[in-house]
Amino acid sequence: MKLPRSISLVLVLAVAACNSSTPRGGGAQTSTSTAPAPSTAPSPSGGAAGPPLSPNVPADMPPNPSQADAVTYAWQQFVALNWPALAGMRGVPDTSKMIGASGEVVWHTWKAPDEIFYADGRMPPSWNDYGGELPSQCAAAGAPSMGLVLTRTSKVPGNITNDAVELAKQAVGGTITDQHGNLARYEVRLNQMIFNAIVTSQFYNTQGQDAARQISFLPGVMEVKASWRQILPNEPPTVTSRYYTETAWIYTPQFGPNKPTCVMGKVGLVGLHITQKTQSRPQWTWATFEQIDNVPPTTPPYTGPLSFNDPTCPVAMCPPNMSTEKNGVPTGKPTQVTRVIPIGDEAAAANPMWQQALAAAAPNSPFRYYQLVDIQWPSNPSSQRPGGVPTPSLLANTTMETYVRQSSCINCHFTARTYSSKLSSDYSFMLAEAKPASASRTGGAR
Amino acid sequence: MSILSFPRINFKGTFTTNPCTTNNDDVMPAIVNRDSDTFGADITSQMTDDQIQSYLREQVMMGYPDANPQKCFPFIRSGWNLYGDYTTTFDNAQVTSIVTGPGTALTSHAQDSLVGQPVVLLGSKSGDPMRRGTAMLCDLDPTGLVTTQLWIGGFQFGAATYGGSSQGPSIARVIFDHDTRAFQNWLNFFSTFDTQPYGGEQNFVGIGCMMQFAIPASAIPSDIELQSSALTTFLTAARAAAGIVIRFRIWEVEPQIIDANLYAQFSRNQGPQNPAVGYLVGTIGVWEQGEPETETAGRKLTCPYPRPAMKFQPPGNPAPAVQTWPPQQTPWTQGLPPALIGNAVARVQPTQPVISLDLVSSFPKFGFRNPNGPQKPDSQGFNAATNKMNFGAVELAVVSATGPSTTIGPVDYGLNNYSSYEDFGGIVDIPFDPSLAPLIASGTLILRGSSGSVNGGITLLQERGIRLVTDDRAVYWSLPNPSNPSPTRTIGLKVYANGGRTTSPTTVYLYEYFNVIQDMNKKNGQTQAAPCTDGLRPNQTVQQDVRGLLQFPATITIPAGAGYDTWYPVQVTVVQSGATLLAFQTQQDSIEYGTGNNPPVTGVPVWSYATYSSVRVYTNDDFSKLYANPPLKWDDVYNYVLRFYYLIYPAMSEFIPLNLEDSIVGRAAVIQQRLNTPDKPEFWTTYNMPVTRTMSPNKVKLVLDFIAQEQAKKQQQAT
Repeated sequence: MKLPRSISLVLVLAVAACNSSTPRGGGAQTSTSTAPAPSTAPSPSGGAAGPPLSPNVPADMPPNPSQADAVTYAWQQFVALNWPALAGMRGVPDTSKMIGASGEVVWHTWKAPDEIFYADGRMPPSWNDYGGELPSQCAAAGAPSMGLVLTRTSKVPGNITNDAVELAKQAVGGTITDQHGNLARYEVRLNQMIFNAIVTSQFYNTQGQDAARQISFLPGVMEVKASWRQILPNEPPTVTSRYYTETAWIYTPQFGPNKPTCVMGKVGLVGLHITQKTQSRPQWTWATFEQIDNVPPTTPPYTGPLSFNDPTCPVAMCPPNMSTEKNGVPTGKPTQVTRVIPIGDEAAAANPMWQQALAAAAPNSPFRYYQLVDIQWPSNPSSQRPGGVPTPSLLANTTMETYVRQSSCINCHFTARTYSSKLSSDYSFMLAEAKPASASRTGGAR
Repeated sequence: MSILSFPRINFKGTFTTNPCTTNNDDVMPAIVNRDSDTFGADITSQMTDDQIQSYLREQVMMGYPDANPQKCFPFIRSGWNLYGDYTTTFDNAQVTSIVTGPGTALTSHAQDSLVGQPVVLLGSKSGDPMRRGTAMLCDLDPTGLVTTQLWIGGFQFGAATYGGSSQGPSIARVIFDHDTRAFQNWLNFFSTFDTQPYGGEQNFVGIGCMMQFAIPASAIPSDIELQSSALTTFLTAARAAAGIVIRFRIWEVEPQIIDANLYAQFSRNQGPQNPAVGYLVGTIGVWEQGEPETETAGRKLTCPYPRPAMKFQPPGNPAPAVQTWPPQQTPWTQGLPPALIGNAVARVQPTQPVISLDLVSSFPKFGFRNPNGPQKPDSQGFNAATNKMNFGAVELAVVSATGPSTTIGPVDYGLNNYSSYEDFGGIVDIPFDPSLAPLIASGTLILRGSSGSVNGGITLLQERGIRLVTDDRAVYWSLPNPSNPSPTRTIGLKVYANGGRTTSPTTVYLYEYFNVIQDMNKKNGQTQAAPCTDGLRPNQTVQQDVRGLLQFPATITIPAGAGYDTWYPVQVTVVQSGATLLAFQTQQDSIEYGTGNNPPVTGVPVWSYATYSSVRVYTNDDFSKLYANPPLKWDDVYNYVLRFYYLIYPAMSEFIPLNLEDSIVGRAAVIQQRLNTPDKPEFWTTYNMPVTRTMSPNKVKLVLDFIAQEQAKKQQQAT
């Protein structure tokens, strides 16, 4: 099946004042951003009996954790990363606000891969600066340079020849089509810690990676992967209010004879992977969340449509988890997505508590309509066995691992490699996006 | 010689192995024999991938043939470890003692810093310091049970660092990098022996075996960061010799999750791994020039033929009654395996009147740590007490050519103090009167009950005069093909007489044995009524058979003195593809094991005593029609090659989904590195895929050619 070319993603911000830039050709500034400061205000509580809601990302899992402990840790990540971001400071929560307040969320201010791995291998702009490259179609359509452009129509980009990224792309690749006939969209974000490591070690181009003898990030590095669906103008608020949404330029690459397009629209978050390397879990932790209206069962009292499943469609007409592309070209026929690996027992038990806490803290916020599918983590990190014994063994997000029966985040990412495939890239497929640096290029943001 | 020399380094711990069991011997006949070269018939041609995956995860209620009383257990069609990935490790293994001479041992860290150091089994080294492989345990013939081999990339003293964290305390590390293998040897059905049969659902938990591998002197690092005078001395000797040999025994290897609980997880579409864990005792010694790699050199003692009645007494207070194990029937038929006490090896020390006797595989442990299986109320795990079954006091003796026997000395097999067994590698050093030296050199060593003990005067083990050894324990051959048109292949044999050079020619009998699966629900053509819903589990035997995979002379004669310093070549002709065993037996072996099928010879002798090579002959798959109609199609690659592995070994697809075209093409570099044929050095590393090495060279070529084709297509599109 054909996969779209990957083009950098550029963030649109409601507050333009945070967009500082360094003239092209100038040296890149060393980022002076700091990690999110601990909240000085009392941690908001989700209610008298609910878990505390904090903008602080947990540094690690507790010692000797149970799966229930891991679930708590995952929800803490979700809450902290979806906290409103402080204007002008990428990756920093605005502790004067409550989760659900309007504005960009913390994870969505992190760097996108095309802000780090440039086509000419240049040093990326500093952390707080914005960069990346627009698809020409979006620029022609009037997308501003800092606009959010969603370009990925499968979980990883299609123009990367590196084997590791091809795997992640191909393994979970192939598009899925929602019930409105539109493709789901994907993006990846990296936190400041991993950005700094990439810049410091010059992993942002192939030459820098070639000089490495081994790659091992420090604890604290994080990546997220998000999946979105288009929110159509005619969808009622009873549906759309259940999504965290952004306005974005939606780029569709060429499929078969169909030319690329770029149109502005609204997108709703349908899936979110959160991954973090910690001191105790060098194989990273792997949490995944979904919007609760993706696939059956529906969550009462909601009676509206599901995003990726039509319960009334018979199996013969809508075979589950089968691509509806034809010869690599999306047909517009919805993919009948079903959940094969159930939501974990501990996650299922904890989800209502967190959803209620979020509802109590911010009644109008859409985050109460998200659920943890589960978190996979290495239960024996010092084991000689690959992946440190991933627990639970299998985990899948219906929007991102639709076609993978034996889906294991850790085992799949265990195979992640640098652009040359010579070294493992410490569970991150992003390093594979590096390109050679051209002699004339130096750093600088647009 | 080797582990029976001084100094020797002993260790103990636990052994964890995670093989995939789908086409193992202990599953439904419909799945058994699902070797990649035979996959495609029956079920798979009628069922979709989803249907097969569901089928493999189904639970059945079955019993064991001839069990009395008959008990029904829940089993899973694909066995106890569908999601196994073959990784194998030593866990919690530590140096327990360093024996520097008879009666002289260092047993504490204060005496030498090597004592207490972790001992770690390694996978193959790679160019990436962050990715070291793991040792892999996988049978040459995954449908059988006598061809187990362990793919190794080295071993080390000191804690291994994996995933960024350390396995345990360590002063320093000494790493020996070497790609090699160890092979199942001296399979012993009574490694753990109880008055009640094992009550768990698996019937192999009482079995143990010995394995041995070697590290050449060239792989011994020159700089040793571990400050240990004993290790320094040891390595000096090893560098001057051929290297290092590591011999270890594993037993009571038991899966940790019962099938019913596995099934519960399968019902939730989870993919739990279910490694089996067992006891581990081992010894590291100097590997002398000319010694085999895979078996301990020396004078071999085995159960006498016919095995006499033997007495034993379980532990207890008050002491239970002495019980008698019945004598072996002759000729031996199916039923009780002949051996109650396993093989041993003896070495007469060249410069002092001491016989070192390796009893690591010999005397059973009494009682299962989990008598009714894991996850049961009476399961104690490794907290359970460890005791040897009481066979009474025993002694080593020598029988002269004229018949009288002379006692050499008492033998401590760990009866009164189990740690004298497990902390010293199961090896005992027996001093003797120097005047016995000529008799010991020329006579036959025996291990017998001491006078006045329950087995007083009974010969428990007896030296075999002629011993055959091969290091070619598992060979991968092809049928004649354009790159190797000759059908002749070679296996090397060594022959010893009382541990030394032969002084007369040795006649060796060659036999081919096959893994035979019997549907026990049918006897004499009639379906038997069984109390269990899904009948009886299949019985697996290894039978002497002539199916013609190989052609070889019925006998060969090794000249006197030959096959001692160097390997004596045995020429074999490959005729058909498949997996088989080629056994080498002396006349005495043939008397004891029998030959032919009347009565049928079952596999126990082959497993326990005989010298044999496991042989895989790859098919010459003919894909010419596919190449004649380019381009190669994904559907063909999947259906002819990858589908088998996708369905039978799901753990592989957690890393690289084998049923998705883009996944295969996208992981070109990984697949190209790991998919090899036996002529490539990478084939012999722990990285090679498939681990089972059941993929024929032409299947390998088909996959690689398809990938290359698709890569070229992408490149063209990109430009």
